[in-house]
Amino acid sequence: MTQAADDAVLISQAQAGDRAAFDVLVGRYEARAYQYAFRLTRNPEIASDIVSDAFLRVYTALNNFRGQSAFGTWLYRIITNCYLDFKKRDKSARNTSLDAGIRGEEGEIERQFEDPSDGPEVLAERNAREGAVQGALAQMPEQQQAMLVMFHVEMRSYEEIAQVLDVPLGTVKSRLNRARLALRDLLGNQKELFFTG
Amino acid sequence: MDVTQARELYSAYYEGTIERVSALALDEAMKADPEIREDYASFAMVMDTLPTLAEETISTPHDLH
Repeated sequence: MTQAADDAVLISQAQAGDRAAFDVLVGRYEARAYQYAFRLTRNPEIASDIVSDAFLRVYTALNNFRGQSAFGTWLYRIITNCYLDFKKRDKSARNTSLDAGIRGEEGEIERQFEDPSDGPEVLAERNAREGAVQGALAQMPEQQQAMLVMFHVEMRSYEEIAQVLDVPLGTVKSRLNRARLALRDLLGNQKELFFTG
Repeated sequence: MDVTQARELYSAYYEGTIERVSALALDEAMKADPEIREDYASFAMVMDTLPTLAEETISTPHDLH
């Protein structure tokens, strides 16, 4: 049985009131949900809150899910909306460092993307470049940020993003193009990291 | 073609999904206009970096529920 078919069975059981089936569904998707939420927020506590909120919404709205899209696509839409709602609530100014790390148990740590075959200079340059991109992403309007994360980090297709955002495919493509240009412009003051011209 | 018109084509050009006529037009524009050439180069550099963000490993908290 494919995962989609298996999901359909679990969803049907959960819609009939089977709490254990719902828990299995949550267990199947919670890591991916958290990963997406964390990539949007770069904050483990906020990401956890968004995931909890999202699954609560899933539980509440599950009887309205008719399978027009894959469950995962529907979940992405809910998480994106939870994130957008969070950003609306959170109007306080943030200090966004272009070297933004994550808050772990040991305080701020610098994110490392290590490839054992790269020398230290290559690694340092790549880490700086990726840190700059993360910092720029955090400064972008939420919709643009969500689209960029969905496509480039979560590896969702244009078609799936169109379903998540409930907009035409052509709209997704033009908005993503504009988001990429906006990201490029934000990184413009760090030319030495990116631009050879 | 000016840089504003060129920018509309960047993503499709980078991904190789652009129509041939538009690709040829953008190629000609980049040859003729250094501003467009450099503008696209900076766009492509950022696009080259974005996939590496997906390599990041994110651990799910044990107490997520």
